[in-house]
Amino acid sequence: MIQVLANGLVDGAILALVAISLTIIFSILRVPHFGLGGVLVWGAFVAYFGVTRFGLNLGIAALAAALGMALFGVVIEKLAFSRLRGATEDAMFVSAIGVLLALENGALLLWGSEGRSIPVPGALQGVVTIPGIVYLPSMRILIFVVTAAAFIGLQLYVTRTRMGRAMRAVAQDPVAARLLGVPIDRVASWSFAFGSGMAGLGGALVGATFTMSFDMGSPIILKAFVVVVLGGLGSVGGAIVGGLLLGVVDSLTLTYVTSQFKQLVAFSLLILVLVLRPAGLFGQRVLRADVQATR
Amino acid sequence: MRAGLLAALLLLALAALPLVGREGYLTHLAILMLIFAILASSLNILMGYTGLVSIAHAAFFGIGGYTSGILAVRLGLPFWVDLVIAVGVTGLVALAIGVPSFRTRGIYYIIVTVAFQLIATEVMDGWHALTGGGFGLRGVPRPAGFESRIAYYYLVLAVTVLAHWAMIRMLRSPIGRALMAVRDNETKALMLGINPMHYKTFAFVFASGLAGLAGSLYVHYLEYAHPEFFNFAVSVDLFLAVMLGGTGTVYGPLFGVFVLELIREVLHEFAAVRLLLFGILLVALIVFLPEGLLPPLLRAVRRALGVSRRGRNTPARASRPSTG
Repeated sequence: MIQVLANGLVDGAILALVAISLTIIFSILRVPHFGLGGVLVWGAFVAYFGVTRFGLNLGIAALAAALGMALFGVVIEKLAFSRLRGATEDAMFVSAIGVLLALENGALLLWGSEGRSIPVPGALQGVVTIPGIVYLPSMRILIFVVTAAAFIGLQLYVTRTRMGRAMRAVAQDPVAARLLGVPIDRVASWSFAFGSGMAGLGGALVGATFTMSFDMGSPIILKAFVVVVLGGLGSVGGAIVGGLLLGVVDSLTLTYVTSQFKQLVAFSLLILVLVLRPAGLFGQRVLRADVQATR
Repeated sequence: MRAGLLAALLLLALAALPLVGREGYLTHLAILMLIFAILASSLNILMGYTGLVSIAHAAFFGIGGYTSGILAVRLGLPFWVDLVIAVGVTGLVALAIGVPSFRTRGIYYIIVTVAFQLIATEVMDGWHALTGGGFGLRGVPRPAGFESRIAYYYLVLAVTVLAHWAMIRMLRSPIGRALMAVRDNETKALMLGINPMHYKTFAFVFASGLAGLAGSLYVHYLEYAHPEFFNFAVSVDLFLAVMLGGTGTVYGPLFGVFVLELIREVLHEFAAVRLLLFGILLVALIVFLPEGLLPPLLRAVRRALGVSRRGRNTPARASRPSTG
C-alpha cells in the first residue's frame, strides 16, 4: 500500500513538473501549449545523446536539455504563436496540436521508435528502502528534489525580478500591461523559454528514470493538462497538489481497480471537474473578465 | 444557378466513376473518400457553423461503427436495422455528453472533447467481450445485395448525397441561421430569443448522428472494426480536413478530405512523414490561412476568369475571430 502511494507520488512529481511548465505559458499568455509534449520528447533525446554520444555527466546533460529546449521553445513561439496573439484559444490550440504532431513525428523520423533509457551514473543507482514496506530507487527521489527546486526557483523569479513582475502583469491583464509599456514579445519569449526548459528537463528525468520513446509526450502532456485543471488554472501551487493527487489516484486505480482502463479514471475525473467546477479544485471562484467576455 | 451546375457535374462524375474504377482500387478509394466526406461535412456543422471545436468526432464515428458491427455480428440483425440503431445510439451518446459539456467554453470545451475521445478509444480497446478489443471486431457482413464493391459504392454515394442534402437544407433553414447567430455572438443570439444551449445541443446531436451513420457504412464496408480506425489521430485528421478546405463553407471540407486522402495515399508507407507534414500544415493554416485553402483558391480562379460575384454573403469564419 505504501509502495503504491510512493510510486504514485513519483509519477505525480513528474506530472507536476510538466504541469507547472504548462501553467506558466497558459496563465501568462493564454496559450494551451500541448506542443510541450513534443518539447519534452526532444529534451529527453538531447539528454540521451548528451550522455551516450558525448559522454556528458547526467546532470550536465539534463541542464543542456533544459537550456536547449528553452531556446527551442522561443523559436516555436515565434513561428507558431506570436502571430496568433489576440486570437481565440481555439486557434492557439490548433497551432499547439500541430506543433505536438510535428515534433513527435520529427523525433520518430530522426531517432526511430525503439524505447531507450538514459544511462544513470553509479552514484544514483542506489535504492532507498525500508524493508518490506517501501522500495525507491534514488533517481525517483531525485525527481522530487528537482520538481521542488523548480517550483521554488520559479516562485522566486516571478516574485523577485522585473521580468517576473512583467509576467504577472501580462497574466492579469494583457491589454493594460501593454498600455503601461510592458514589452509583451519579450515576456512571451521568456515565458516560453521557462515553460519549454522545464518540459525539457522533465523529459530528461523521465528518460533517466523510466524508458523514453518518441510518443511518450502526448499522454504526459494530456495528463499534465488534467493536473492543471484539477489544480485550478494559473495556480502553480495547485499544479503541484494536482500532480501528486493524480499520480496517486492513477497508481491506486492501476493496482486495485483496473489495469485495462488505466486512463479512464483520469479523464473521467477531468470531464467531471470541468463540468462541475470549471475553476478547478483549488482555483479562484471568480470568473476572469476575459472568460466572461467570450461568453 | 452556377452552384447547382457545379453540384450536378460533380454528381455526374461520381456516378460515372465505377466505369473507370471497376472493382479496383480507385473505387475503394472513392468509397473511403465519400464516407470521410460525411464526417468532415458534419464536423463542419460544428466547427464552421456553430462555433464548437470538437476533437471527438472520430469517437462518434466509432460508436456508430461498433454499434452497427456488434449488432450485425452478435445478433445477426440486417444492415438497415443496424444502421438506424447505430445512428440512434450515437445521437443518444452525443446528447448525454453534449448537454453537460456545454457548461464549458473555449479551451475547456475542447479539452472535454479530447478527454471523451480518449475514453471512447480506451473502451473500444478494453471491452474485449463486446468489441473484440485490440483484435478488432471481425466478420461484419456487407449488406445483402451490396456485396460487390461497385454496388456498395453506389449505396455509399446515395447515402452521402442524401446526408449532404439534409445538411445543406438544415443550414439554409431558420435552424441553420440560428446556429450561425450562436456562433457569431451567443449573447446577441440569446437576446434575439435563440437559446444557444438548445441549438448547440441540436447541432451536436445532428452532427454526431451523421458521424455514426458514416461509422456504420465504414464498418460494413471493411467488414471489420478496430479501435485504431476511430482514435485521437483520426479526430485530428478530420479536424485538419475541415480546416484545410475552409470552415463554414459547403465545398471546403469535401476539398479538404480529397486533398488529405490523396496525401495519405501518396505517403501511406511513410506515416511519420505524413504526420509531420500534417502538424506543420495545421500550424501554417491557422497562422497564415485561417479561412482554409478553398476560398482564396476560388477567389483567385474567379479573378483570373474576370467573373465578379455580387451580393453573396459568405458566412464569417468561426475558427479565428479576433477577440482580445
